[in-house]
Amino acid sequence: MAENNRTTELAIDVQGATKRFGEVAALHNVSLGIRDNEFFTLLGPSGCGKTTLLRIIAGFEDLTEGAVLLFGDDISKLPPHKRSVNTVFQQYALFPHMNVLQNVMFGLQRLGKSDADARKRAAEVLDLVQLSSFTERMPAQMSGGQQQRVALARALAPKPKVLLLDEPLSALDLKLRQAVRQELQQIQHETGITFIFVTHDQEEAMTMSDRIAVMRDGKVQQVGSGREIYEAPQNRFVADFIGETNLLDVTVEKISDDQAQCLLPTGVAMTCPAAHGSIIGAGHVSIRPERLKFAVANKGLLRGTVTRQIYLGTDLHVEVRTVDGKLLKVRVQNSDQNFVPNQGETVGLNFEASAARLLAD
Amino acid sequence: MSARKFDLRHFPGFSPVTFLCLFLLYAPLIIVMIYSFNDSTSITRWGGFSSRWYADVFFGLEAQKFREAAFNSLFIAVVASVLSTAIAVMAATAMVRSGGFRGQSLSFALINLPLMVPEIVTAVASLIFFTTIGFTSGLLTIVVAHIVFCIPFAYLPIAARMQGIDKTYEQAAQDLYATRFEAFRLVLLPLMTPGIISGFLLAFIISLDDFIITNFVKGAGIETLPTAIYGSVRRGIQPNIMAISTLLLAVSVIFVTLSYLVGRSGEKTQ
Amino acid sequence: MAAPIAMPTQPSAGTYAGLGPVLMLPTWLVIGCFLAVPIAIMFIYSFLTKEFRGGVIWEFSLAAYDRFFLSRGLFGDEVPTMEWTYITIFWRSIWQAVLATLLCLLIGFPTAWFIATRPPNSRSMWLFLVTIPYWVNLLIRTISLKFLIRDNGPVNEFLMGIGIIDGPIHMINTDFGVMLGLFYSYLPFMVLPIYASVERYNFALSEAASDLYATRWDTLRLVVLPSVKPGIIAGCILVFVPSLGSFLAPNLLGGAKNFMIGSLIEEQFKGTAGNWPFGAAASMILLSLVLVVLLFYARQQTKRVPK
Repeated sequence: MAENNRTTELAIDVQGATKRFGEVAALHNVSLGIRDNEFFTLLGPSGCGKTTLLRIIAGFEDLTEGAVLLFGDDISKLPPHKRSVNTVFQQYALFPHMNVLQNVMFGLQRLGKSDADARKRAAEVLDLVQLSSFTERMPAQMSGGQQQRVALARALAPKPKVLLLDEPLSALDLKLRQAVRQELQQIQHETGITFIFVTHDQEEAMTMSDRIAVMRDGKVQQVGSGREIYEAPQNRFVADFIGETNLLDVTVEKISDDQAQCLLPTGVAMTCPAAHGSIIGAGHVSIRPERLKFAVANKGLLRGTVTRQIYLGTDLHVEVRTVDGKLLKVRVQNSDQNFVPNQGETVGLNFEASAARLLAD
Repeated sequence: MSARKFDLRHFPGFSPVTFLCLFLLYAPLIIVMIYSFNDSTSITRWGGFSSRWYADVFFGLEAQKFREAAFNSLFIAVVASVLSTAIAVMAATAMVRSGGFRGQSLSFALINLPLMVPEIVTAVASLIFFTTIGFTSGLLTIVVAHIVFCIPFAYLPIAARMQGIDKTYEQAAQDLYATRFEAFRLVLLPLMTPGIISGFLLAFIISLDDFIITNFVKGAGIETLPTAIYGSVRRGIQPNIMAISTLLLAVSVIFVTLSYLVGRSGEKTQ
Repeated sequence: MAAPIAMPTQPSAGTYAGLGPVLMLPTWLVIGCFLAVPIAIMFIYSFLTKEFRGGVIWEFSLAAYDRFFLSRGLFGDEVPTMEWTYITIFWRSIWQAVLATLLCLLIGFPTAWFIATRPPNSRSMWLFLVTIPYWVNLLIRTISLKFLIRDNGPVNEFLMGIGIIDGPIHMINTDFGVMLGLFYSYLPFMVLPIYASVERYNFALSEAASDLYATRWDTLRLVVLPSVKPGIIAGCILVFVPSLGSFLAPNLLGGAKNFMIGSLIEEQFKGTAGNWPFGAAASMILLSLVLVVLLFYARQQTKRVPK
């Protein structure tokens, strides 16, 4: 296998991928470009198609329509054992009758590497995941975290061009998960292999990824870095899936140069950034809870009554019901300097127009 | 358009072998069935379609002999399966529902014993036993020998079914003032019925079909259907043998199908 | 057959606690009295003297085993040498059983795999199809096979009819015929345990192997077969043991030249030419062989207890 070229070529180019299981479309015309040496995450709720897409890239499912290219080569019709792509399975799928070393050497042996070469490479990669002393162990004798590292080593050993990871951390407990996240990132940087990571946990996605593709119902909703997705969500689903947000119903009067002039429900007008594809008329504006500030009742852009306060240690989460019945979430840092209203009090809420965003739907 | 899916479950050549396997399993039986309708006294030439051999079985020269043999087989099968099913129910209750007792693993070995000992050894041992204690060979010896090997076959579906029944039903009954015996009779037994019927049918067929053991312990005067058929075949395969074989075949298939369907319907009501 | 009846997995907190021994009593009586005790008596018989009209004289003697293993010449007065006749018969039976097992494996494994990879609701139908022939009387099945492979039977007629062969393939009264008979008798016993193992197989392992560049056949060899091994072993035992003591197949499909253990034993109890102690001895030897195989299997099972 050739050494990974750090080119500007796309590692994985998904073109118009559609996958139907009978009548149901698991993927609908999905197109994605994943760059070389990138830590790319497919994020979404269960059933959104992210695992299906991963399996299509690996070769375990075939496409109903569309193509998948690996560094420019069309691999759509190749069986899994002919693709230079390796997978870390969700339940690890370690061969139970082989010990750690045999598991890790498996791919290398199938590729025809000499025994000496295979052993050497296996030792390298076991060292990378810090399991060098575990070569003789059987999978059943190892903890979940250790098994996961063996699965990773096994997939890395054959030096694939792209590594696929199917929710590999979901079986681990929280502390371990956090530790492993760091390790995975490190390994990706060290090896320079393109990682495609599937998860439903948005915190995980944000922590590890260079770029994230948010998926829902077989379609890609938005692709971008964690910051882009959080601060500039494209539509209601993305805005609500990543973190929390408030959605205000507005009337859009004019859109120009990615800025929209809208009318708030209170009748106040404002200008804020607009997502690509926004239209005039009825729309939604997204404002993150931490961007709302309390103000005196009649001095705010919005107005409502405090219904609930939830103490979260670092923050205070306050729920405010507006005059037109909308429930807004406000997040205030727990600090003496901040003005926090009492339950039942009527308050005003202010925000910077630049912090608000008109969504495409 | 999609590529031919690389199906990891598919091995080329496996489905042909499967169909070959099924073909090999059914071909001899089907051929016999076909030839049982052969309108010719020779078994080698096809003479046209006729049911004369079935008539021969029921009304011909050897009809009397076969009728007696069939009656014996049926009688033995009924007695043996009823008794072995009853015993198996008790054994299953002990093994599955009594929370363990001393000698349980030995009992488990005992239930399996008839299945582990080769049939011929069982046959020889039974013959020797009956001779030693002076039991005259006849219907009784056959019935006793049959009960022995029918027990494990009846036990299988019964125990399986009992395992699958949640014990909370009986506990609920006891909570509502039923005695243990009442809980057994009014709750467990009805729920187990499909398993019991399954076991009974299985035991019945096993008894009906038995040859080796029966042959050894029956003595000279009695014939069951299999032993009568065997005796006839020793002299060469006659056409009427094929008719009888087909009849017996049909009975077996019907019973096993019934057993299977009963077992399945039982699962659905769980 | 090896124990297909599994030890109950959860002795449920006894609804009928304490009644165990009582409920087991009939079973103990029946199987104990009419199988265990007879086997013990048979064991004793093998050490008795033969009555020349058939039956036994209650006098201790090693004649039966002696006859089996040693030859003392026509008049019993020569220096004892190894008697190979009966050992050969046993050896041939073992060999036939092994061959039949292998044939069952060759055909049974793909069949079991095929069924296990069908859609879940059709699987029991396939299994049912495979097992129905087993429930037909073994005698009838053997007879129908005999009918089929006779020199002037349908198979030979068909093959000659379409011109593949000139003269009939001689299958009846040969070792091949017997092996075919054994294969036919016990094939479902190979399919069912393998099916059970394959059904429990984790297909993610095949995906992982394929992901790591293994071809289909590599995957079968290196990943599937080791995982499915318990089912294969169980199937082999379930075919081998009955084949060893088989009587009908060699009797109806083999000839005088294809004497197997079952026929040897049966002969000892026919009429006045029989030798009951010898028959008992041969049965004991067969039983011991079977027990050895079963013990080996049981040891295998307990070794595999997962941590």
